[in-house]
Order: sequence, then C-alpha cells, then structure tokens
Amino acid sequence: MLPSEINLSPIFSGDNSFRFFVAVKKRFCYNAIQFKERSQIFVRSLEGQDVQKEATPLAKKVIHTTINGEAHTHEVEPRMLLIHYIRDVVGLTGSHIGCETSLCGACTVSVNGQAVKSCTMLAVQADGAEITTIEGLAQNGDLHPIQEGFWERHGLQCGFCTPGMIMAAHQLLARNSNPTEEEIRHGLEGNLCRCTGYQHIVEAVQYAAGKMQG
Amino acid sequence: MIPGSFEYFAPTALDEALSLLQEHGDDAKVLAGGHSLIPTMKLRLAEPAVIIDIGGIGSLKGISESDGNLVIGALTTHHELESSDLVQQKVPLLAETAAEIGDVQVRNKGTIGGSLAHADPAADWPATILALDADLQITGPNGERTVKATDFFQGLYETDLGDDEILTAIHVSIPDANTKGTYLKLHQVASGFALTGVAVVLTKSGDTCQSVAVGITGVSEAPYRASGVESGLTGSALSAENIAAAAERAVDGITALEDIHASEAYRQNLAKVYTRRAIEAAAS
Ligand SMILES: Cc1cc2nc3c(=O)[nH]c(=O)nc-3n(C[C@H](O)[C@H](O)[C@H](O)COP(=O)(O)OP(=O)(O)OC[C@H]3O[C@@H](n4cnc5c(N)ncnc54)[C@H](O)[C@@H]3O)c2cc1C
Ligand code: FES
Ligand code: FES
Repeated sequence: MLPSEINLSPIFSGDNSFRFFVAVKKRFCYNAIQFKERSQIFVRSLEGQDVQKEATPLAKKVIHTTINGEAHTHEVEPRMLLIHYIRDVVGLTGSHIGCETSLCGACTVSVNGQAVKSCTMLAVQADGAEITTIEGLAQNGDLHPIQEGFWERHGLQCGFCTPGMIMAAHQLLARNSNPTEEEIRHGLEGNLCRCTGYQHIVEAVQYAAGKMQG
Repeated sequence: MIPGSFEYFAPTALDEALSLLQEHGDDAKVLAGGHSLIPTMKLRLAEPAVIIDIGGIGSLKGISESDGNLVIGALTTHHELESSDLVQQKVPLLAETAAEIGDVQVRNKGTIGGSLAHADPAADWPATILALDADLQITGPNGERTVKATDFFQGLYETDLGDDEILTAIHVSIPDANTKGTYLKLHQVASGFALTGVAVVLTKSGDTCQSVAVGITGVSEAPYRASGVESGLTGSALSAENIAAAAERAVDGITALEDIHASEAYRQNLAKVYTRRAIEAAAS
C-alpha cells in the first residue's frame, strides 16, 4: 500500500501526507536495518531468487482468564487481539468485529469492570483478568434489564452493534445509575449504530436505568 | 488487521522494564494503554520485534499529593484522571481535559504517560501539561531526570524521551485559589482528536491578569506555549478588548498545519478564537 492510500485519520489526528507517514514510521522504530532487510527481500523476490522464509513463530504465552465466571487457560500468540481470542479461541461469538480500527465499539467487552474495545487490546494483556461479554449478562435465562430494554424499546434493527452497545451501556449504568439523556448519549459515544438513529437505544438505556433502580 | 509477530515481556518492576529496553534497544517498544501503539501495529506502520508491556508495573500507577504537587503516575488512565476526587479538587483542569479525550472505552485504557510519549500533534494532554508548566519525570539507564513540559515536545511525534527511557510520572504544582484553568477543544468530527485545543491557566489579582499560561495543541507539528498571548495579557486588565487583542497573537511565530481536515488559515483562525474564548472562560 502506498502511503497516500492509507487513511490514518480515524485513529491518528494527521492526514495522509508522506511527511506524516514518515514521521509515524520514524517514531515507531521502523528502523533502518529492518527497512534495508525488507527492501533486499523485496528485490530478491522481484529477481525470482529465493525469498527468505517467514521467521518461525515466536514463543506463545499461556494466559489465564475468567470469562463470564468460567476459568480459561490457553496458549496464545502475543500478537493475538483480545477479540479474536474471545471469538475464535474461547468460542464466544456474541462480541462482534465491526471496524477493526477502535472506532465502532462493536467489540466492546468488560475487562476487570472497564468497558474496552477488545480489537485494541492484546489477549496477553488480559492475562489474569475477569472478562464479561454479552453472553455473561443474562442470568438463568432471564435477560439483563439492559437487554430487556433493547427488546422493549426496539433498541436494535440489524443487531450488529447491539452487543457492544449493551456492554457500553452496562459501563455507563455501573458508573451512573440515573443518567440524563445527554449523559447516555455521551456515554455511548464510542459505539456506532448504522440502523437505529440512536433514539431507541437511548430509550432502551432509560428503560434499563428505571428497571435497575427498581 | 493483525499486528506482526513480536516477543512479549510483561515486567512487574521498573528496573526490569529498563533492562529489557537496554537489552533489546531499537527493536523494542513500550506498551502502556496500547491505544496508539496497537492501532499503529495493526496497520503495520510499526512492527516492533519486542513488546515490553509496562501495564503491570504498580509503581507507575496512581495519583497522590506531595509538597504542593499532584504526582500522577504515567500509567494513570484518562478515566482515572477524569473521575478522581483529588484531581477534581486540586487541579480540575486535568479532569476537564481527560473528559475531552476520545470516548469512554478509549479513556478506560489510554494513559496520560502514553499520550505524552506518543506526542500526536493533536493530542489533548500536551496543551494542558504545557499550560500547567508540569515537570515530567523520566527514568533511564543513567538514572532519573526531570524535564519541563516546555522542553519535552520537539516535533511531530518527537519528544525529549530517549529510546531507552521510560516516562514515570507527571508533577503538577497545585495552583492557588486565584488561579483558574480551562481547556477548550474543537473536535475533529470523525476521530475526536483536537482540530484545536487550548488550555489556559490564569491567575487574577482583582480584575488584572497577574499571569497567564496558554498551551495549544492541534495547530502545529508540536504543541506549544503561546508566549505572545501570555506577554500581551500579563499585567493588563482582563477586559474583553485586551483579551481579544492578546488572543490575536495565538499563532505568532508558529507554522500552522495544513491537511485534509483543515487549511492553514482555518487552523490559525481557530487558534485565535479558541484562545480568546478559553481566556474569557478562565477570567470569568
Ligand atoms: C478511537 C480513539 C480515539 C482517540 N481520541 C483521542 C483524543 O480525542 N485525544 C487524544 O489526546 N488522544 C486520543 N486517542 C489516543 C489515546 O489517548 C491514547 O491512549 C494515547 O495517545 C496513548 O496512550 P496509551 O497509554 O494508549 O499508549 P500506547 O499506545 O501504549 O503507547 C503510545 C506510545 O508511547 C510510548 N509509551 C507509552 N507509555 C510510555 C512511557 N510511560 N514511557 C515511555 N514511552 C511510553 C509507547 O512505546 C508508544 O510509542 C484516541 C485513541 C483512539 C484509539
Ligand atoms: S471492531 Fe473494535 S471498535 Fe470497531
Ligand atoms: S442495529 Fe444495526 S448497527 Fe445498530
């Protein structure tokens, strides 16, 4: 990909200019040696020579997690993202992958009580953590009040954003049990919905807040 | 969007992290909240061979008060700063700034130390840290040193921090009762980063400006102190005219950025307008 084709603006403040690209590269230890080696590999491949084999995978790491109350131990590659661990290794596919660029919030899960975008966290960073995913909210077959709110107030259409939206709402209500409409909108800023226009989502959270206060 | 392979270390003590950095040199990157580094690695703009996750180093966490200073561990998250009672009482400007960063999930993970070390030209913390004239505490192979915020930021993603050093804490002196701070930001709508962010710390004596510090982010390659504004207003009555005249100097000597989000002229204008409004708010 040429620098000019990369749109970094969603996660960096900057534009697509070459100057910006070089600054990021420079800052992030894309050092000269790596660059030289790579360009040599590239040239060799163009010349039809043997291309250096991919390095053998680096050591995996054992991690222990508790997800929705259940203990798990797995060996993972350090570069595995938490969302891939949850979906592909543990098999809980309720948390979705939307943008993969930390913007949409579809991958939101709770790690030690903090809502996080699990596409922007390594599984190894969650070693020892208590994780709650959307699957962990309902108890004994009864929907959580937030889930019930989304049902009652039509807080979803396609449902793709819903697991993340509910986990973000869960964080919001844990910190503020009686939020104003503005606080709800502010608290869900990290989650995008392409269907509902948000109004029904806000109402769903209001429903849940009322119900949770009894 | 999966990062390249790397070797992973999770030291629990600062010494351990520093010797790992020494050992692996240029190949290694420190990982704090990961909310700038991981996206960069997913795009393969960064492919460090070694990641040193400092997230488990307890001594880099927490906020405390000592000798008239707030001491903020580098690993303190934006959310912790936003919600801390101590911060809200002593330096509310810090909490106000934290609340403007990204969204809830970003604030739960991202750290103040990571933001300062990363030095994105539109990050929020640099403006406030500059206006508060904070001291940054850094540890490296040759021991500890302290750098003034004004000497820390050096350019686009460039700081005074060496490759083998770790930013450990930020020291902010607690302002007196006559001093007020404001942070005012125009969010770029897609990313939430600052198109312009202006932090003002103003000390009044009666209706006169005894001293003022103005930190500006988002406008230039590096955040800066608007010294023209500061000298223009110090000692003057805080009238609307004086504030407006001083704010006109917000980009004196500065080359404003020009990119797909905003032209140079627009950024220059934003800097002046936001400086004026931020001073007005701090003076009121
Ligand atoms: C969707 C999204 C929106 C965002 N919006 C905003 C916004 O509006 N305003 C804003 O200011 N920021 C924003 N950010 C950036 C966010 O604040 C990051 O958390 C911050 O820039 C980096 O902090 P971190 O702890 O995540 O650092 P990391 O990503 O872990 O590290 C960043 C860099 O700093 C280095 N580093 C980290 N800690 C240290 C240390 N203690 N000593 C030495 N080097 C260190 C790392 O090696 C790396 O090079 C946003 C990020 C995302 C993903
Ligand atoms: S998939 Fe994680 S924020 Fe969109
Ligand atoms: S319901 Fe379809 S994205 Fe939100």
